[in-house]
Amino acid sequence: MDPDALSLEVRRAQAGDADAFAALYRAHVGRVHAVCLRLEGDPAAAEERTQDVFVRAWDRLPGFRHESAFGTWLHRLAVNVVLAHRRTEWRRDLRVTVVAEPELLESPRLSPDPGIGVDLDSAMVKLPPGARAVFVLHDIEGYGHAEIAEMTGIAEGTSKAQLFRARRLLRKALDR
Amino acid sequence: MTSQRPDDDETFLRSHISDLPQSIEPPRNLWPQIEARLTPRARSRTRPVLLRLAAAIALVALSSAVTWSLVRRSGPVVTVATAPVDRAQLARLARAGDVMKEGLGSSSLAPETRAILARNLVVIDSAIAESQRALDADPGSPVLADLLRAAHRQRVEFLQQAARLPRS
Repeated sequence: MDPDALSLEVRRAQAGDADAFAALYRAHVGRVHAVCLRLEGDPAAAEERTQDVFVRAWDRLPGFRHESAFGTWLHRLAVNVVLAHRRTEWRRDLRVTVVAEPELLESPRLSPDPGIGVDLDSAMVKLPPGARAVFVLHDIEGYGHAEIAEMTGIAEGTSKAQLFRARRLLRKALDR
Repeated sequence: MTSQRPDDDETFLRSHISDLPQSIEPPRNLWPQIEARLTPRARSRTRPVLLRLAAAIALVALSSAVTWSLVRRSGPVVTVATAPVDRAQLARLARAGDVMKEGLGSSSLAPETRAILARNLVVIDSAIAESQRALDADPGSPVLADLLRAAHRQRVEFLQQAARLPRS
């Protein structure tokens, strides 16, 4: 959908036009589902969160001020929806001290079947939830540690440590 | 325990990250479930807005229909005014509106005023979109061209009035 048509659909959806909102769904569902899938690490949960994101977007559209692109706004909303849903679980996991955790690097969770190649998306699924969240937010979505700390309610240092942990685990999985 | 340095891990993963697809379609269409969950409150708001939209479209359509009927009655002089669909003129009107709207975006109007303007623009923009769609379906229709031109002019006049509003 070209930007002008998209902008028009956004305005129509803001005015309550469900058909226009369906067009926005079709244009953006792939990106929203991708971020939900990577943060959740589970296809069924990702589908549920994707639905939640669009329902929330419908409710919040009247307040959308066009100060950023609709896609950017929706993407941020998707991250917030998943974070809000997983906050308790992730906080628990994110509090784990990570730098000196050699046993985690040998974790069976990251051991794929012998002889089977692993891509990054598959390897991420097997990360501990907190480490996966920080890795997705920082290395894939481009958020800084300060933003991640604010969004997840952890300390910046914890975010950095979790990123170190995630990268190390992923490299180990992908190197096999 | 691996002996690689953290920077090596980052470099190693960078190429894998750049290969990741930005978009992953869900395995099934989620829209029916989403549509079923759209709140009644949000849906109920659509009715007055749509009514306003319909009223705006009807107003523009009525004025165009009247214009067209007058044009038909008055003979050859007006045939010139309506015969070819002047797409360049339509584009100029659209551009003029866009420029004015952009200028308005950076002005210091009160938030409440901006909200009112935005709501009204949604109605007018929707009328333009509807007219444009109709003209695309019937590109040679002078009536539809008039309808679209009138909607664009309505937008420009509205934005001109908005530009004259006192700033906060």
